[in-house]
Amino acid sequence: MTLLASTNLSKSYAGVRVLDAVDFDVRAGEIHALLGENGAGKSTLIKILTGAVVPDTGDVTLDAGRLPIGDPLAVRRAGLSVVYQEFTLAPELTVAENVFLGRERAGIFLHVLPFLHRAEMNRAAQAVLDELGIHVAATTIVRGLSVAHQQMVEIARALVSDAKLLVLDEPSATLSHVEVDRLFAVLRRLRDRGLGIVYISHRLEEIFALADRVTVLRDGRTVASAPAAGLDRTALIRWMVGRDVSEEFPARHQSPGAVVLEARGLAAPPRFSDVSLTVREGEIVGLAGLVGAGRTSTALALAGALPAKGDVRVNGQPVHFTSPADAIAHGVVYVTEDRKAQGLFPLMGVDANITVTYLSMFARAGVLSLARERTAAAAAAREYDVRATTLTQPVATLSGGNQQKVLLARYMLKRPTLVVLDEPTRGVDVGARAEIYGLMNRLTAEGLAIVMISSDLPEVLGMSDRVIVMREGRTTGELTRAEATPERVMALAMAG
Amino acid sequence: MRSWLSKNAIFVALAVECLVLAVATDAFFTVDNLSNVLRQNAFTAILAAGMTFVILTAGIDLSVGSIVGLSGMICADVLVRGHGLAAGVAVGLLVGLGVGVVNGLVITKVKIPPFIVTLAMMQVVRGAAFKYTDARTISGLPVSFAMLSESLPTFGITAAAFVLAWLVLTRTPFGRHVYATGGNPEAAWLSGIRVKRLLFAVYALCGATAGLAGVLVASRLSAGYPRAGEFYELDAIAAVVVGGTSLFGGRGSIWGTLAGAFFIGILNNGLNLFRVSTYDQMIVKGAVLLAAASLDRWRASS
Repeated sequence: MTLLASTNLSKSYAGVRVLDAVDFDVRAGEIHALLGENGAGKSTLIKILTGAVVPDTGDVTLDAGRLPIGDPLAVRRAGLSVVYQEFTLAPELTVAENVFLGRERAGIFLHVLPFLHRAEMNRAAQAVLDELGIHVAATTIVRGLSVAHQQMVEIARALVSDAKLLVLDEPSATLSHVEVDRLFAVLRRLRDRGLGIVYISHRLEEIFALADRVTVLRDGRTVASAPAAGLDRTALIRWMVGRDVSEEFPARHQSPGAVVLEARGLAAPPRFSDVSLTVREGEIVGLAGLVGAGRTSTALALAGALPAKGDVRVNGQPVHFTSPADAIAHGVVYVTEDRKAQGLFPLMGVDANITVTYLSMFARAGVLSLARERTAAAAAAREYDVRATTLTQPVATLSGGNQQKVLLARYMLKRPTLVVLDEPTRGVDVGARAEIYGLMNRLTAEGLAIVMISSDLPEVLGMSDRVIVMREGRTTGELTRAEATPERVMALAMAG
Repeated sequence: MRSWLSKNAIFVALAVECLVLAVATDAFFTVDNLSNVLRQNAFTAILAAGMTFVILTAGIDLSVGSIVGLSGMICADVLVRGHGLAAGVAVGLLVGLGVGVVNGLVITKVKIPPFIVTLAMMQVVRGAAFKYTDARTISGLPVSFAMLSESLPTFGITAAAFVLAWLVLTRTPFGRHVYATGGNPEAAWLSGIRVKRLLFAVYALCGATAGLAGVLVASRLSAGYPRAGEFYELDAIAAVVVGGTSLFGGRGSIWGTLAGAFFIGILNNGLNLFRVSTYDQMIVKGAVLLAAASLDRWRASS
């Protein structure tokens, strides 16, 4: 039974056709995956469905009733709820309070004072959580919950609003494998109850594991819409990208050189207590582990952004970095996992974002040569294939993949000794991902050493020469490329 | 077109303002009147130049008005003791720099928000200015000193201050890093900017410009007056905001600040020429500041 039907949706911005006569429908009791490169029109489509954007043409019906286009609140009331990547929870309130935020159950006391039916809301929220199989007390303060649990609270919120259709935007980006499995179990349970679910993700394995149907958008048009069974990777990629992109990771012919970084007994309790690793010239060391294992904290410590005890040597010399500036001066750089909040300068252009770290390169007697800076930025943008209309455009207007390349270009402007890449392809589409892998290969062939933190197991296995696994703040094991299998990595990440 | 207007709003407003006044009254576009406007607003403008750096980092410095008082007092004292013009001016600058250094240290080492630190220093420094002579005015300053605040020297000093500030902000790594730190302090730290050092320098700089302004005010008054500079910090902040610099940091220009300072100054001048009462002028000033801040929010959201 068709739950959501949208026909002939089109939208243009300043003469650019972002959506072109798109038909999209979702059945009740179905998990429908929506795929497409960045810029394909996915987010515009979702924004139309959720009421944030009004289409130029087209109509949407939900459960045979016309969806109130352009009115997000009405859309939500009509039964369409979205869980975005950035959560909309109030961190200082409890789970129950968040679940009922905006729909509080209240009564009137003595005909005058409104008051909250707290006990009733707690009970109702707990019931929803239990039904979803989530072991969290409704009275817990949201701030103390893991990202995965917070996501569940968002889902519970949608259910309490009597959602008939749930849209999830890249829900697995911040989850570990175990948590993703739990999410899938919940989604399947909801589907079996008759909900329609739209699942947006870049991760093809997830699509195959979860989806009943798949729709692929490209350049604003529906390119394909088919049952998931019987589809293969190559077909999906070809639809998304329009050309055959080998999603296999580029072959690595590594010949690692001298040791450039040696860390022993690195500790910054409570985040991590015992980390040891070595990295060689030309090597990619993958740092694997569950979310919360302490990988980013380790990276921050190596990069001088987190005070830590222990022994660190760069090129044989003992070092103790007190700031990222310190580390960068010694050739150790860290590329953050959170581009938007911690990496880029949104008010500055692409060029300024590229040159900011090594700006003094362009100064003579303290005065900047803007011309030299511009030339260098342009060269770097070309080298890393940053696609922007002009280099002075605000960096926030670039796609995720291009933003990531800007960050890479920034830190590579003066070739460092070691780069720590934290989730380098998170939120990046397939095409740009391949480009980033290619860049990593080229840079290591030129002698750069890379430590790559990734929660994407295929990526870890496909790109690393060696895999170091962390669990609860400690390094639990090291595997060579030949030894590394998903099972062995997960065993080290989770073993008791 | 809209983005050009948005970026250059204050210059357009200033031009329109001058045009309107020039047409509305004969008294505006005279050498006498204009040089008066310059002399009266140079102090605010110079304070605002230093304040621009601070506000670009999303900080604030409430102590500049008090620094004007203290630096003027000590400068006057040095002059009255016969140590010569250069010494007096140098000491005035150093006093300002000193207070700025204290501000910078407390903000970066003790990590108290700039608002609180500079609010406290505002009191401390004003108290020190009064205590210095037990609230007595220092007079009998040399005539050569009073000449510093004549039109030409004032123009020269203000112009030099702004050109220097412009050079630093747009043509040095330090200046670029000021914008970056204000725009995204976390990213600034991770990208290798020595944020603590930068903030320290910014507050020291602001204090030094306040010291300069203090010397000029003392020259104008031809006296060390403990209450000099009272409320000047508010005018300086208003000039910066009206000039288009965002209080949230990361966005703004030094020429905008200059235009903002004189926009307000010329507005006051115009209101004076039309015999509008001082109290009404205060209300107008406040309204302009509100309008400018609203424009800033609108600009940020579009």
